[in-house]
Amino acid sequence: MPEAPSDRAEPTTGASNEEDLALIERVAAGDRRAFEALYHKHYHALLRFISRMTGEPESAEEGVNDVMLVVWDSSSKFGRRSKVTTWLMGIAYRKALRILEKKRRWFERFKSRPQPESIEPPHAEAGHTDTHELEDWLEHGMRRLSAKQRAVVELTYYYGHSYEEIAAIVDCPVNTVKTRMLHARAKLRQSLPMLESPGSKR
Amino acid sequence: MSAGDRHQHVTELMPWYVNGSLSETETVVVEQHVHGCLTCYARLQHERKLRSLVYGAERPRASPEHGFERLMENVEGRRRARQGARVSAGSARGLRMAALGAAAAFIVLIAAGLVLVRGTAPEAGPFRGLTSADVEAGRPRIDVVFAAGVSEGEMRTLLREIDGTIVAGPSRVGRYTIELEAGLEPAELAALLARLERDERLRFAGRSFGAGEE
Repeated sequence: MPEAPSDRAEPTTGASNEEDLALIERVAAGDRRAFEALYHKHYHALLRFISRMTGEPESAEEGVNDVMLVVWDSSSKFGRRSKVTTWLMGIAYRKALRILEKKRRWFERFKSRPQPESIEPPHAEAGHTDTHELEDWLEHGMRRLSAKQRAVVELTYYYGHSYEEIAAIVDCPVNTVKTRMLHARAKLRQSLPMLESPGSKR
Repeated sequence: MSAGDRHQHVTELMPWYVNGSLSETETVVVEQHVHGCLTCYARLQHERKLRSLVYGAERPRASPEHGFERLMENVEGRRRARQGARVSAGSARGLRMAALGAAAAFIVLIAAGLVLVRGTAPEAGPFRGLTSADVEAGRPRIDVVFAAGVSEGEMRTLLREIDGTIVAGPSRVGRYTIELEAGLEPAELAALLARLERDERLRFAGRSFGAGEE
């Protein structure tokens, strides 16, 4: 399992955002090479985020393209009110929510396949699980979260955003971000007992 | 701030302490509290474990090159559709007559049982009619038949691509009626149907003749 960056990671580089801003300006002028560079630079981050939020890796690539289509259409309107990554992740977040909404309407209309029941895994004993099993438990735990809770978890632990940045991305108050994280962690602790604090009740 | 409040405050901040995004002030608050609280110290270790798990979770594999190609096809397709719409603005009547003529020919082909073979797979049994398009007032509708073996995920992907919603089907022969977004110009709908004709996921795509006729 790859090591996560240390607790006190370096601050998000301003240089990277300046590079993004320069690309956005060129995209706004119709520069397709700049658009391709921007696409390649953010592709995997967007792909993972949409995939993790929706639980549909096969739809994530189209989701990324929908996000970048918005960038192509709206780059001239990007007002530098936020970092470029915050803007991109905000578009991706809303796109992922729309994918989930369409999925929900599909099931409601056609009921072609019953909605999968949430999976309640048996308890994983601390110290007796290997890496793959832990990842499976994490996957089960993440599926028990709402999409909005999953978004906060991913944006925090994988993308390293501050809670203020997350509030900007998902367009909600900071306290809502903290609340969603609290609930998400509580649910994940139920799926991953090795994450429970000693003495906490189950 | 009471001890209980500080405890809760630090607990709230922990995820952002471990990802290194807290302010200096908040960092000091967390570190000072954890130094003297065994429960929160242990909780912090679990928080780090969770972050490692999330960070190490398998990433989806896909190629940005392939994705970008498809994106630019979409961008080009929209540009051509807009140009086509502008050109046809002065010949809308001519387009409508051509579309009605194509629809009539399509009905004849259906009646004659003509089949257009595509590819070499005999089991595909494809049937492709001529496309035609009359933009209905409001939301236009088209009929499609998906190719054999197309998964539900691929069907959903296609619907997202064309911004369509299934409003009827499948019929006995597997025909679905799809309602598109309002506001499509005739040329845009014609371009869309032309593109769908070439789509490997479909055996058939054409103007809707109404739901549930089979």
